[in-house]
Amino acid sequence: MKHYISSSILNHSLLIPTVMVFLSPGTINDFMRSIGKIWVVVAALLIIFIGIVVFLFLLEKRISKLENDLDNE
Amino acid sequence: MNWLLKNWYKWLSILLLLYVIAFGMLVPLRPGIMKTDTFRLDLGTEAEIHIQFYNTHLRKSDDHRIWIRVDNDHAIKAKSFAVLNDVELKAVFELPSELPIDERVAMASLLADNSVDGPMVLPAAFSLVGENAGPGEISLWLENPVSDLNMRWTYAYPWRNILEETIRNTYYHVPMWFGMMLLFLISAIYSIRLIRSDNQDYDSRVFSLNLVGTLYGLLGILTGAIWARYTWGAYWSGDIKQDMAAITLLIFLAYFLLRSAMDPGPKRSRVTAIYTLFAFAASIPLLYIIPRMQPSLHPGSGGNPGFGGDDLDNTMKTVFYPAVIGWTLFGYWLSNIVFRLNRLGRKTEEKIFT
Amino acid sequence: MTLSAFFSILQHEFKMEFRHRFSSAALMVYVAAVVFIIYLSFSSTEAAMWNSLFWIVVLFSGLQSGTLAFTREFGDSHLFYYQYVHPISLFFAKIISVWIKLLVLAFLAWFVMGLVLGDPVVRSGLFVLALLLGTLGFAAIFSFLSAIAMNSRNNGLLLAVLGFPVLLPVLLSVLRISSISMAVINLDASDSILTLISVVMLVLGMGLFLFPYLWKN
Repeated sequence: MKHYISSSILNHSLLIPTVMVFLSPGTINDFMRSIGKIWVVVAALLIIFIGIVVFLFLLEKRISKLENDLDNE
Repeated sequence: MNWLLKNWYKWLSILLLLYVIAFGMLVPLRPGIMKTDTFRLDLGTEAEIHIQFYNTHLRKSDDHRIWIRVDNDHAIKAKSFAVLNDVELKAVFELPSELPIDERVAMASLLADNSVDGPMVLPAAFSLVGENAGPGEISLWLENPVSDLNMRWTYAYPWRNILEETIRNTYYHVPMWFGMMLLFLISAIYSIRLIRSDNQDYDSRVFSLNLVGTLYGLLGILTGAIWARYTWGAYWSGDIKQDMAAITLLIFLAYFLLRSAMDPGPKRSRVTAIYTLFAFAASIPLLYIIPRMQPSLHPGSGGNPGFGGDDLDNTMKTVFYPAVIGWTLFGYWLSNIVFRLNRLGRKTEEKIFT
Repeated sequence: MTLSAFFSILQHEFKMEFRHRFSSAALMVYVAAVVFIIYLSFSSTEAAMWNSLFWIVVLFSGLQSGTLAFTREFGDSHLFYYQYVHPISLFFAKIISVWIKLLVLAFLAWFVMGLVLGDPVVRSGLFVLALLLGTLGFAAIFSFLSAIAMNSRNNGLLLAVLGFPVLLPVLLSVLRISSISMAVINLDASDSILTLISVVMLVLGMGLFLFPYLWKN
């Protein structure tokens, strides 16, 4: 058990700096500009997808509200 | 079968969007020159230039020709070159001691051509600087003119230097605006029908179309911002079209404020429909007249080439027009769901509270 | 709609304005006070800054007078009178009375700002043209939107929210013309004047087309 904990701590201690390096603005910019800036297009498509999904969730909330109104009639 | 026919626009929008996403992402870019390692070239010296290409197969062909071109008639051909790999090449130029034009400094473009990749150009690649440059010995500039380029048609999108692969955003960012305007147009038509007949179903139509139109506008702003970040340099570049689009969104957001500030009923639907018409009319100068009066980074205004000229060639049109139709039909589908929900809510309230 | 009916409404408007002259006087003091605040906080201004500040003053005084435009009409006291009036002539009379009020305020602002901050206007004719057209656009938009906002609670705030984005096309082209008149930018003014005229015509036309439907309420 102890072994597992220490190894997970070790993993995290390695993971956090790696994540931080990856998430630094310079790395993100380099990543977005790689392969002819194709990731910019991917990001745009993702934004549209997420936007529509959020819209659908809000719509569903309205439907639930309507269902509640009908049930409480 | 009947069901299929009844929902024709939904199937059509899905088919079109599948086509747009598949072809928009999978069709390659035409080969192009990405960058060189030198910008300033001194006349009268021998220059070795490292050139980086994109999407090329340099090792497949051996008939490379590379020029530094000052204008249509005057160019210097590379003396020798060495292909490093498929996308990199080193070229050696022997630069004459004088410029062919009456200037001390001249901008020159880099031109490359081979039988596999076709002609490629990097505009404004070099600035040629000479000590005693002036009109003089120009025969060196005329010896190897740019000629017999391997021009041919390929199914690929054009290479643009700063845009690179993001030219594909034309199919995802631009149709958001076209879709928004078309949805607002349909909403304006329903507004006219509402103020003529007072049919409450039209109010639900106007509301739902305005809602999805605003969603499209928001998505257009967000996708535009991230596109601008990696091409123009900042999320918000103070570009006139960006500003006007944001104002258009504000106008339509005010519709929802007005709607929430009034009690439901025929009076509200009439007033908000009138506002929708007014807002639609007011957004026309914002989106189509004022941006044309000022220089813009967007195509189609100021000193830029018009949208549809260089920025939208025939290959791109085969995807762009389906994209506009597909996204608009999809938006109409979304608005139809909102419409039915809104209508149902109104009927329910009428049933419960009266 | 006859011309004499229109003039009788206009006359009535001015009579009402005179009866409520306190609010007009208050607006004038408001403009003078705002200009004085600008003078105290900036002490001296460049022509470009003068231009923007001037139009912001006109914009906010337009908002104030726009809020007042239809308050009386939606009360019961004048309902009877307006039942016999064609909505288009009423709307026209409204726009013209707001326009004249705004013009007076704008010239007052010009005078006071010129007095305390100096007058950067080089081509006065062009500037007066910008004033005439710009205030006409403001008057049309504010009259129309205040008629819309009157239908809701909380109309003062709503008018600002509805009005400012819609105003921007007029404001931007008017700013352009007046900065040409101050020689801040060197351009031919005819293009901007045409744009401004078309934008104002669009707003006026939409207002005239839509107001009768709004008035039915």
